[in-house]
Amino acid sequence: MNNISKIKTIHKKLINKEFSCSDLTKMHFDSINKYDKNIGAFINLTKEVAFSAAQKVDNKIKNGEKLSPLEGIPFALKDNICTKNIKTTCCSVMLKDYIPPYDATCYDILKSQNAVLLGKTNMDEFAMGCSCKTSRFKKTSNPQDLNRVPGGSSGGSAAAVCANLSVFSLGSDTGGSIRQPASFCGVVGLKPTYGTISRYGLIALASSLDQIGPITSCVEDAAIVYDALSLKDKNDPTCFGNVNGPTYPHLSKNIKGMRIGLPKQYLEGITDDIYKSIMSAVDVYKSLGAEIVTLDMPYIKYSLPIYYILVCSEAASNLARMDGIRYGHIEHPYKNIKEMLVNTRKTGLGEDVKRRILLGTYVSSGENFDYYYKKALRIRQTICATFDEAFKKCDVIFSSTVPETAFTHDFKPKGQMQAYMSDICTVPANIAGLCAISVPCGVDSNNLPIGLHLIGNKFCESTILNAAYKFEETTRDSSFKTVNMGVQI
Amino acid sequence: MFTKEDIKNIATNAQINVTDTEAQKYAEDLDDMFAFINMINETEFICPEFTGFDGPSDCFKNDSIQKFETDCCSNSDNYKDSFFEINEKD
Repeated sequence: MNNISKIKTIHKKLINKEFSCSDLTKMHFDSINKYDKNIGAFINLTKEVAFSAAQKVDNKIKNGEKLSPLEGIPFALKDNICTKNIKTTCCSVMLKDYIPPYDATCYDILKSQNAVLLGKTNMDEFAMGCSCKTSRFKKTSNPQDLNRVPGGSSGGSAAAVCANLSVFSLGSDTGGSIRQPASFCGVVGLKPTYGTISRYGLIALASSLDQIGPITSCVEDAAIVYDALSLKDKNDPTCFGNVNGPTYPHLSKNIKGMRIGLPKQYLEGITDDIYKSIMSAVDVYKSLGAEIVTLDMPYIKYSLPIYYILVCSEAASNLARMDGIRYGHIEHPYKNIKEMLVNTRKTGLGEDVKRRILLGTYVSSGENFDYYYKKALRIRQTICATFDEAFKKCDVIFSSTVPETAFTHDFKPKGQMQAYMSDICTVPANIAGLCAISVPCGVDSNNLPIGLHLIGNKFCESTILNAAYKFEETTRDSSFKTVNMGVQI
Repeated sequence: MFTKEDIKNIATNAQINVTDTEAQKYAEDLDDMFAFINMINETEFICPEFTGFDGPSDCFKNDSIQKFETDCCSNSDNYKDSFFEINEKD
């Protein structure tokens, strides 16, 4: 078996007392000290919290108590997931000193299992971006090639896992922010179905699209983390949990007869290297007994334009509270409240955030509301129906995760829209609330990782995780490009 | 085409203060974005607006993995058992 679960390996070694959880935690912080100055994955380390959790785990082992699957496993959180008494900044000057008074549900679950929080990871400001370059605090580099970006917005989370500085991490995905950096860094990123993992405590970008999910070094670990987190939550009325039960027991099932949909629209505009990798992946699935179904999904092309209408409108609304009164820093001096408010938002919010707020304010004001926003909602309904039809013909839909591999730090897009094109393959799953996973499927001519994107129907995480697992099991040696740094378990 | 004045008006509504130079840059950016976004006007969409996702009841039986043969863990009653069962297998 080529799948290598770090979580299972660590679990076993902790139980067998090959190392203590405190030793494991120290190894991770030592690695972070050594490597993260060049990578910049972490924005804030939580040593005290980590060693306290590690001590609890060591005591349980000492007393012969059984450990739960994530007990003692080091992990990292994207810095838009609230952590009580630990700074949560969204990598924005606006929230540079914000200390939440409560924990996000996903962190609460991990904390209750004594998983070991190493720290918070860098991200694009308020999750708006696809490179981590809009972070107001630091640059993050891709461990696969330090001259390149790790992707975004969960770039720090993906870089931390790629560099073996964290066993797993959590990110948030509004239009591809888990899957795109996972693809750039050559790791696994799962965007669960909307409403399976609680969003309580996630600082919202666009509430109808946001979803928390895991970034891991293999599919098996993604299933383990997803199963632990996909619980119904009374604090999030949109959260149903994982209604189909745990995914982990379904891994490694035979996929003979599985129908894989290949929409021609998803294969347009990708590089030759990526096209070849995707078609090789198709051949792998054929050899495993899957059937290929060609799909025509013409309305998919509207996903990206309506995404920017919807995400910017929701972001403009959600970020209205970042005004120095309800949330955020206050810009001094000021003569009156109006001046304080305007100056606070001027200095507190970065260029890309302001651009999206301007766009969102424009498309949701006056007659534009009908012309843009309501039309976008009609198209969204059409795209949902398109996927409903597609899933009558197939079980999983294939594409590349991104049209290109990781770009360099100094890459200058031709026009603003080119900068946003990175999300073109990932956005439709968010628009339709579907689950999707990015799994490494080889490298391009620059030796940079390529991601295979598998989209599943709502609440069908078992299907895509199993399909991804079988692919990983068959091709791991050739498709995964590991990085020789960090903690080697 | 957006002008600097258009951007300043939108910025006032959004409670953001922008300089002339910034307003000019944002006007160019929004022009570029709307050149793309306006493709939604190529087609008329006569259908209801999206009002939220269906609950899981409609999707509960969607998980096609149920159809496929199992290689391991088929007798697992719950997650923890299957996790430890595989551990032991390893």
